[in-house]
Amino acid sequence: MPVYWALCSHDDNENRINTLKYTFYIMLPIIEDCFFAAIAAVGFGSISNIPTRAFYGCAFLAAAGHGTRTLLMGMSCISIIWASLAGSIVIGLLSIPVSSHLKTPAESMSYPALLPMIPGMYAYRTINALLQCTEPSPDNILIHNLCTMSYNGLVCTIIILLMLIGVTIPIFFFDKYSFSATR
Amino acid sequence: MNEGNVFPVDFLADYAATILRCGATTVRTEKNVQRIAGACGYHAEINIYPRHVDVNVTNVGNGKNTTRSRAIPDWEINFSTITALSRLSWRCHDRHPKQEIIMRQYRRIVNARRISSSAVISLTALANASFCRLFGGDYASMAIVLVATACGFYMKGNLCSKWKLDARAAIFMAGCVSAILSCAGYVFNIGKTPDVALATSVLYLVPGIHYLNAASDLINRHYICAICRFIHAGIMTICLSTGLYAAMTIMRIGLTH
Repeated sequence: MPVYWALCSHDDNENRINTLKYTFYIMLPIIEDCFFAAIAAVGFGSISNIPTRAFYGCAFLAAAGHGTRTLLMGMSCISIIWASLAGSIVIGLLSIPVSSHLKTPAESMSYPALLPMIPGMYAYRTINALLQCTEPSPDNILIHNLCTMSYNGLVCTIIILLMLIGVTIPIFFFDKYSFSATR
Repeated sequence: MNEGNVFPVDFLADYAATILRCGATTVRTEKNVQRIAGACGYHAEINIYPRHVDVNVTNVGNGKNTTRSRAIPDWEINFSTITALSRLSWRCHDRHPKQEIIMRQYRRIVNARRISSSAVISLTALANASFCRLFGGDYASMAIVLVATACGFYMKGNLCSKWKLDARAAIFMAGCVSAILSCAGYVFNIGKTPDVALATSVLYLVPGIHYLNAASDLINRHYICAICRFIHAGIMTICLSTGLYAAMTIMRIGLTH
């Protein structure tokens, strides 16, 4: 036990423990997100046959990007669109030093690391609403389904476009470093 | 034609076609080809089309130039080959090795083996199960997605390699099979998030690398390549969406009547 803790009164210690517990409960979903995002990125990296040492970088970038998105959405109540853009920029920026360190192209790690942020539920709801639109139904239900389809499809498309821009721009902005990583 | 140009132009055309086939962006292809040509005392210009690549090599000393065209085979994403070929270009730039050494290293890179298919299937299934968790799925849904992904991915690989089926048809069928298997949550009342299991079961088929390459080509002002890659990725997305749609129709998921 650290000395300053030993000098504190019992109430102070209890407050500290409660604060630590509170912080842990807040951080737990983010840590869980980072862990599963890292596994997902490694799996998608294996489909693209990335170099063996790039798996570490891929897992780290995915955890950083997805963790940023979850943190922004949970703590700051930022919408999924802007949080995804921020997450993709984090992946793009971090991929430059990581690629130089691991001597692999930045895109071999940043691209698979970005895939866990694909808005799959929005895509699914779009298809689901499309399916319900094809059913014979009253006008109000048809309009509701059309609105659901448009909303989810639009959000899904915008998130994907912003993610593509967010991860690609840093690679071009720091092209001197990103294209000499394999040297 | 200047005979002295034959080695670099033939090699550079093969190199460009190989690296593009492996899913390299146009900017990386241009930089690597020009780097190797510069190391050999030549200047290279490269024209990248959706299915072909032209490499024009000019001898800096006498100004004579030679052009070669190569067809780009069907895309097969392989970042290990891209990494090794990029490293080869830097080795040419820094050490100026002999032609035989360059060719030997190139052949070794091209013939390198991929990660074993069983490892890829296992990792992809784990990845998709993790995806399910990220979207709020419970452990039962994760298990369903794991099995559905492994079956779908195995089937897609066999349909493409053994049965030589068109990649788009294989994606449609793999998507449909994965989605039908992931409906187990609905059919047998397993878990509390069967919708998440169904939604994530086909996500391993999303051609994310092609979309990202399209964005990169767009920024690099290779608009034709960008549009081509985007359309290609879009068609694959439509195929997997159609597979999901067909599965939902067959299993009567999302339909009220």
